[in-house]
Amino acid sequence: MTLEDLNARVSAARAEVEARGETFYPGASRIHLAAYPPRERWSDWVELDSKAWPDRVERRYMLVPTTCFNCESACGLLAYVDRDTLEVRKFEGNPEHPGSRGRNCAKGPATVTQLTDPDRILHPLKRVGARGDGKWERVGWDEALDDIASRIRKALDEDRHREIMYHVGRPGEDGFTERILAAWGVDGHNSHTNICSSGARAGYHFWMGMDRPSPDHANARVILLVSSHLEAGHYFNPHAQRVMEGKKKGAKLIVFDTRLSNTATHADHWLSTYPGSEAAVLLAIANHLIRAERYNKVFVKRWWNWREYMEENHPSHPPTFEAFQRVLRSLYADYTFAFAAAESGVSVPTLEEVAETVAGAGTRLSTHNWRSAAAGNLGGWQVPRALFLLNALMGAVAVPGGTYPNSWNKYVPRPIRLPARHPKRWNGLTWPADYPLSLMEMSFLLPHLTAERGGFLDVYFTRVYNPVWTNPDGFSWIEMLLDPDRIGLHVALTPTWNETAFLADYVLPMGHSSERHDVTSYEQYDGRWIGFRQPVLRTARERLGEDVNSTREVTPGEVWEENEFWIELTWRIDPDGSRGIRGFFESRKRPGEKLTVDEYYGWMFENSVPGLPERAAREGLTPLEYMRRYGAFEIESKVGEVHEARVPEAELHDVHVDRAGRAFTRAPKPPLNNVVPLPLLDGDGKGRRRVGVEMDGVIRRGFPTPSGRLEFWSRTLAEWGWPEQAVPAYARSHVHRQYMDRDQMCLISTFRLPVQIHTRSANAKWLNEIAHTNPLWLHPKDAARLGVGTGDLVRVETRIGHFVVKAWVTEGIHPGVVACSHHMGRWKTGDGPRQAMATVSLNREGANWEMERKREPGPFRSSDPDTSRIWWTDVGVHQNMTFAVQPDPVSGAHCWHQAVRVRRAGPGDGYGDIAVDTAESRRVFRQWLELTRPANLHSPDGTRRPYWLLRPVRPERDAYRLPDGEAEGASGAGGGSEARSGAADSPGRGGTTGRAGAD
Amino acid sequence: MELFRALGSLIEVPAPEHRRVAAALRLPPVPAPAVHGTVVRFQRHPYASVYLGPTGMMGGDVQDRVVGFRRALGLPAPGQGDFGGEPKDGATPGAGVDGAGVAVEPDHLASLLGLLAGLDRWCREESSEARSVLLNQARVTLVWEYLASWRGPYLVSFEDCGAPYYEAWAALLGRALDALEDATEFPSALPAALQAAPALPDPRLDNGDDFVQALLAPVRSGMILLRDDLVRLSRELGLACRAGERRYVLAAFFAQDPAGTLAWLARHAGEWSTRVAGKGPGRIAAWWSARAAVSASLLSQLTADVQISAVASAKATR
Repeated sequence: MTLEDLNARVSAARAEVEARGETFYPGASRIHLAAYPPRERWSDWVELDSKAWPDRVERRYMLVPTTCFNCESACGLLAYVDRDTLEVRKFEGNPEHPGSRGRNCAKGPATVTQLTDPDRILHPLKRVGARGDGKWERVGWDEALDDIASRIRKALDEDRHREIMYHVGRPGEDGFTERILAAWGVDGHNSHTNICSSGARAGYHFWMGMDRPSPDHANARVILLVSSHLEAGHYFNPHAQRVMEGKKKGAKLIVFDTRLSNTATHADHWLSTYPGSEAAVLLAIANHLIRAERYNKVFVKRWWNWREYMEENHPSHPPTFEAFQRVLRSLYADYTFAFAAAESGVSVPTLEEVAETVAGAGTRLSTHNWRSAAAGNLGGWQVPRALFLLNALMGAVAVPGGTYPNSWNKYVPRPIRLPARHPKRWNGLTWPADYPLSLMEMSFLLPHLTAERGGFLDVYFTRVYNPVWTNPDGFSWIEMLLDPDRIGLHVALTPTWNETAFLADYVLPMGHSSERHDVTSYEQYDGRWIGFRQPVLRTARERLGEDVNSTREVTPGEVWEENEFWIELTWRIDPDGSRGIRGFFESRKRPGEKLTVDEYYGWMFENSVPGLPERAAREGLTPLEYMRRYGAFEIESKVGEVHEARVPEAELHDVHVDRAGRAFTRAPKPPLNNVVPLPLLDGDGKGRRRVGVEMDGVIRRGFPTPSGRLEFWSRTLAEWGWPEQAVPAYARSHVHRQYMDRDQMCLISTFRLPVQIHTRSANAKWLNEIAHTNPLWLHPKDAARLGVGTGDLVRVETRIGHFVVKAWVTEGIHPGVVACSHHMGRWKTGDGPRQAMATVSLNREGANWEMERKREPGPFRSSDPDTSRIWWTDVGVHQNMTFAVQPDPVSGAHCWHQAVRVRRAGPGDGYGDIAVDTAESRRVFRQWLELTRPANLHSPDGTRRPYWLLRPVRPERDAYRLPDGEAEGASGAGGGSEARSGAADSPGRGGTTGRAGAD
Repeated sequence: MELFRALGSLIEVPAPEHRRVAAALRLPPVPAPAVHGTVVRFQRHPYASVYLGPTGMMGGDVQDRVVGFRRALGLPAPGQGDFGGEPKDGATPGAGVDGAGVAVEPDHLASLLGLLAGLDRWCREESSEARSVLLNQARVTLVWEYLASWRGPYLVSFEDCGAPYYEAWAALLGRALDALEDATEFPSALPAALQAAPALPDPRLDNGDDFVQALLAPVRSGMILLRDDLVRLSRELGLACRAGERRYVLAAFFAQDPAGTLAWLARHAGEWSTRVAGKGPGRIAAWWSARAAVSASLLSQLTADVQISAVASAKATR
């Protein structure tokens, strides 16, 4: 046979096999991390049992995909379900997942240790005795559901909607529970976000209307991270692999991190900036780009709202781009490299080199900030605003190698029913008028607001959330949770015991990643995909022909999944449908019957995910079967520049274009299957809706901002009381040296251990073996001054108390700064998880609390022989307890960095000791409250919050109005144009929170 | 040609999917993974760096040059930007280079053959004449520098390997490369790795530390010394074959019978000089043959020296 014949034969064979969706060329099997079982063999995969070695014992598996739940990245997992025992033996990566592409961090495979944890909560439990006594009785799901449902029903019937609250830690899903709350008509959504990412998200939101970055690292020429994003953080695994891809192609990596993190070790330029100085450095780079005229003038002219800025702030200047360029040049002229060097401690030559590197990126500049500096500092939300300024200057927005807005790289499929209800009542406990621009709920202030403003929650759900341990000021949380006048019923929905669940009235066991349904979609590259989390044993049993009616039938003990729980609870709240709630969770196929998860997701995949039905049909599957088989689906890649897209003619009817170029149409909005949250922008007041912006005589989509453009200048900020912060600016942080005593240092507490999960890894044995403590990073100069060495005990004093921890002397930290990682210091007072929780005593005298360590964890006998091999005893210190709340007055984010005094521990100090005065924490709360510019004084229109801003479970529009008599600043609030103009010329240097002139 | 990608995939550890590929190519039945382990994984490492690098080991400059070559084409290192060889969201050229089945190390034979197939398709689909010329130059470079430069001795090593499947695979790959090379106009200069490769060092001129390592580096000795060859040597000379890496085994032979070992190696090199002649493009085949002949000559001289020295030593003792 000739070579041509052979070539034709093999080409034809490949085409035929791949047309069936099967694998023709298997992966490179000698590199184990790159080799995956071909998907057509997932039903019956044979592997040798590694534990049986040296015997060659074959095990047969069914590989069932799901989605990791151990951080928000939602990476794909493949559960190896033993076909003989129907147990999950292990988890590996799912190569079909477009985001993670088969790769996982340690937390994914460690899921199996969470499933088999001998201390797992397996049954619904009800408190016996006083709250917090640690005594429980096992109850049935029916009893718990009826009790909770009846309380909620009564509250709704008595118009006490505000007394129902759902407080979520790790959402891990796209809107299911928000729809439950919307169906109930309750403005009771409370997220953890303001202790996490909301500072960064606020910065992005004010720029582009969307609140997260989606950097295209793989195609970048320069990657700039204000974070340790190669090892930790949202989407870090999908992003990290693309950062490395970019580096392999020659991209330069710039990392801002005070610590020598693992990420910093991979950087071409590591900038160990003094905490809080990041925006100063970024603005100095911007100044360099502007002065050297190395920015993308075409992009700036097209897409910035410079005209609006000039009109409002420089009415005496001609409204030309040339005039704006001159203003821009002078606006940032003071941000010299010398200034940035003085603020940051990074040398001028280094800053010059970095600025040149950025200047050479062209449009291939990918940047990212999530927590880090944005979560640490007063005014931290200006860090991403200054960071994105670089993208906006270079035109590196929504182009290959640049940074995309998240909503364009995300897909939220429309569900079978979308409750169109908007709560009638505003929840002032989560959205107080003091923080009208807060990106998310002021969740961490709950103990203070309930105490000072008489708040009462009749039913309070904590869901995969542990505020006592995760939030600052944990003792105030304990005080609130113990107070029946503030918390009527506390229901903890959690897969694992935690410090907050110990204080619950009901503890309801929820499933881990392989025991629940969710749909996820996150911005991890320029594309849109959905991932499906599913109870893998349910799917496995169904494939074997069994009927499974509820996920409870296949989980350990009585563990349940949340979706079925919420549907069941909703039905019990409104058993006869008379309240109009139940109908949102009724079957379409069988009216009057309960909606099942199969119908919920089956409808969604059939009707709301473009391309999925066709793809599934090619393999002879229904869309739901396809997702159960492969776990993920890419809807689109290379979404590109949505803002430049022409609005289709069908959407243009009786179009009106206003002076600012914003286009409005009378054409109805076409039905959208992607219900990703976007701002709600007002129409023209004459019945037309916003549809885009006019540019070059063409109506283009633009950005979902009030101006339709990238908002270099934010009218919202200016009009709501922050004119000096309306352009990207630098304001000195609360931990700036200027505001600290000479003997104080800055404590960084926000960084994560790459292998740990906030709360749920307390019993993940593999993860605990890798990382289980959090010493205090201390520079050798500081260590010498204090006279301590590695391993010595030090006392760290905060404003409200102190904690005692071990020192780790390292040059990997900026002098004058100390650092102590998040995740560690888990504790219990009685029974509880035994692998990584210390046993402590809590002593209280009035507002004074003390925690003393009684016993460290150690080996113990259990159903898992590994627990007898636990060798670690040091599980770190719970530092967050000693932090007062420090809410940023604009973004609402907690400013984590602490001004502390570090001393050698005294004779009476013991490792892990904690002392806190909650009366002092209340005083700190009030002091920070004074920094706010509340809606009742500054709202320009008599409302509590700008309507266009994103908000979960958005109440109806009338609820936005401030109560009569409260809108003191409703007319002309925010100052006249003169005031705005003057302030905007000084972009915030030392200008916030009464620190004007601080330079 | 898809044929090259298919042949490349077959040097991987056999999986059930390979049966379809082998059947399409009319090859004998795919053997068990254990056969692959014996024939390929432990003896005939399919990496260009092993045959072209001065240490005879994986990695180093040769692998770096392949990475650079890929980067010049706008492709990431395999295994980083692509799963299973499919560049999904890589640079522009990646969209055109369908490298399915390529290995994740850049200089692995499967990677190189996958890239060759991808470039071939990319050339055909390129609409710009100028770019097409550039792509064709890249294809020629790939073949000359990273495939033709070592495939002669590598494929020869499969002759009589005892596994009909791999013997047939090597013969077919050799045939396909012959056809490709015959139809390609190559540069006048030898591949860079061959030009740069030092010959087998003369242990009489230095301390001899490098000698054993160089014997195991094909580009220096001109021959391939498989584990099977060492076993054969031990049997023929009646020497103990120590358990360990090849360098260790060879050193043990020298310790036991230096003259016998040198003579055996000289014969082996001489045979290689004959076997590789005519395998691959003429200039390259001639280079390999000459390099083996030079080694054979040196080894013969060393054998004679050792024998003379031994006689002299014996006389002195008497």
